[in-house]
Amino acid sequence: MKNLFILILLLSTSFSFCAAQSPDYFMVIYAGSNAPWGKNQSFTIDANGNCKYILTEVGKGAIDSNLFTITKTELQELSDQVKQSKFYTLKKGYNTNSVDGTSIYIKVTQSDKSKEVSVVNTHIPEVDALVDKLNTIISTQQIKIKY
Amino acid sequence: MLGKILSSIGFLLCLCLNVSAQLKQGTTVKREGCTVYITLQIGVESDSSEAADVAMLQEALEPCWPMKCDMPCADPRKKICKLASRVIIKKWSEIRAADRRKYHHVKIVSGQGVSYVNDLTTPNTGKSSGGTWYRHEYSPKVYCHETLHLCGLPDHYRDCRANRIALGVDNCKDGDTCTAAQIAAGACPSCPGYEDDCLGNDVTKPFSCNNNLMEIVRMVHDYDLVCPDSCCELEEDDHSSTSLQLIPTISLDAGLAIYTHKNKNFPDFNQTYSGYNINIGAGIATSITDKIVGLGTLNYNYSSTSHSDENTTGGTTNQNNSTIRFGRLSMKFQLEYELTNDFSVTAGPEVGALFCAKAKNYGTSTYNGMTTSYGSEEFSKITGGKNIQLGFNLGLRKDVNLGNNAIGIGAITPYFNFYYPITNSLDFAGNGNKMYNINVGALYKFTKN
Repeated sequence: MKNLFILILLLSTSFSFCAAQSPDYFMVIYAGSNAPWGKNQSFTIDANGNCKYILTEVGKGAIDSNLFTITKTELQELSDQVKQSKFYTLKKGYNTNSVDGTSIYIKVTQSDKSKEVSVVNTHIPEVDALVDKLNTIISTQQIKIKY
Repeated sequence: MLGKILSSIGFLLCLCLNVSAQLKQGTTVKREGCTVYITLQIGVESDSSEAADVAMLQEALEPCWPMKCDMPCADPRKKICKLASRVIIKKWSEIRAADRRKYHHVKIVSGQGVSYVNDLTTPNTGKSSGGTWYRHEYSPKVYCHETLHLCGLPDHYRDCRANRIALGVDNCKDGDTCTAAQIAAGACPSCPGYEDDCLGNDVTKPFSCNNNLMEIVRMVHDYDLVCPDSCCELEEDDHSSTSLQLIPTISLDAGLAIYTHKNKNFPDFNQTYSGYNINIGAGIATSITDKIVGLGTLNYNYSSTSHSDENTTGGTTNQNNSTIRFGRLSMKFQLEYELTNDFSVTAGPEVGALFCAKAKNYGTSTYNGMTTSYGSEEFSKITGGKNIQLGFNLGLRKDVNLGNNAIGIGAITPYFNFYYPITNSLDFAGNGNKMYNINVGALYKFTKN
């Protein structure tokens, strides 16, 4: 009995320990104006689905912000879209020679790998698909990532 | 024959001038006399009305283009050169396909967005850029800001926004970085020295002569754009001597020689000799005004022309060959007038003397199947009178200036020249005989010490 109790205790501790480990990814998005006017969005999601959104305007600083959490299911949908978009195979930068206009920067970190992609004054279908998925998930917060 | 030659020359002149009418790329920096011009060529494409968007853009750019600035001379006592900017805006649909690469291709579109330029291209490199500009922008001054990007200028503000830092943007290149507060605020402070600059963080600021226009000129790295000494005249109260710039020159040209021989007693007699000529000159050039240069050249011309004919009279067939060669030493006086950026026209009299004239005449005469030779294939001196050689030169020069003053240090100028003789070459009892030269060559101007 005593041994059974110790076994159960050990198993519970291991399970709790595993549960407390970070889920498998972390996303950072910066989107908006490249010109000395206009607005910029900053959006981060940690591994637990905690989201932080800040909207700034050049010369005015932060003009809006929001903190909220998305569900594990939504996190998984986002992770699945990262794979579907073959995000890790994209180039680091698209159309980076252009000046002013708008751009989006996305960094995804999952387990032991990380990838950054910047898209300037153009649209890449894979990135658009990822952003569309995110916008669907966060639409309830009246937030839309635009670039 | 002379008429046909002159017509061809006229056609070539027209062709050359027409080809040079359009500049070769979207942004051109070129000196014309004592003014350096920055010329921007924009072709506007529209998702609505090209005519309306061209008019809108012309109105929006009016406060910033054209602009005039002073370019200082090395000696601050001296007067200044001028720097002027100008913009040419056309409908994209009205630009010939072959010429579109000479224009920045700007698409004006509806909707909300932030205007951009495709890439920064250096002026005078044959490249043009373009971009997408929104019809309803943050401010009409945005278009002025974008035109400076079309000229190749980067932004002059420190971009502290996360997406820009992530992209590695470093506009100021001064080693400084954004503070945490600036990053948190997404600030864009102007680079030091650019606080009042349209390319700083306030696009409503006007163009700056030194920061914007002179920066465009400095991008080109062309010595010819440096304010030339001839444009930097001393102030009137300066008592130091105003030196007249005398630039040594040498020239070499060669081409077609045509010698015409008419006999006043035999109106039907009209021989035309053709051949080649070579002309070598050495002289002095001096700038008279910012568009006119005077040249005096000591010339040596060597012309060799030949003529062959055959005629039959009374059963006798004569086959005749003649060659005439002249060596002419002369003084050539010309004025060179700058027509356009690239071309100058030259004109002026030439006076000289023939110090060498020789000829040979030989042939065969055939009668009843018997052929006899006459004359000699050896040249003999022409001992008859030789007139003062008076003529007129008319030419066209292309400016390929390698130097940094109006006349140029080491400037090579290719040219076309037509020499028209006014007086007869030889005193042949009043018979008309004239040597014409149609040449191409090059003039080299040495540095002034």
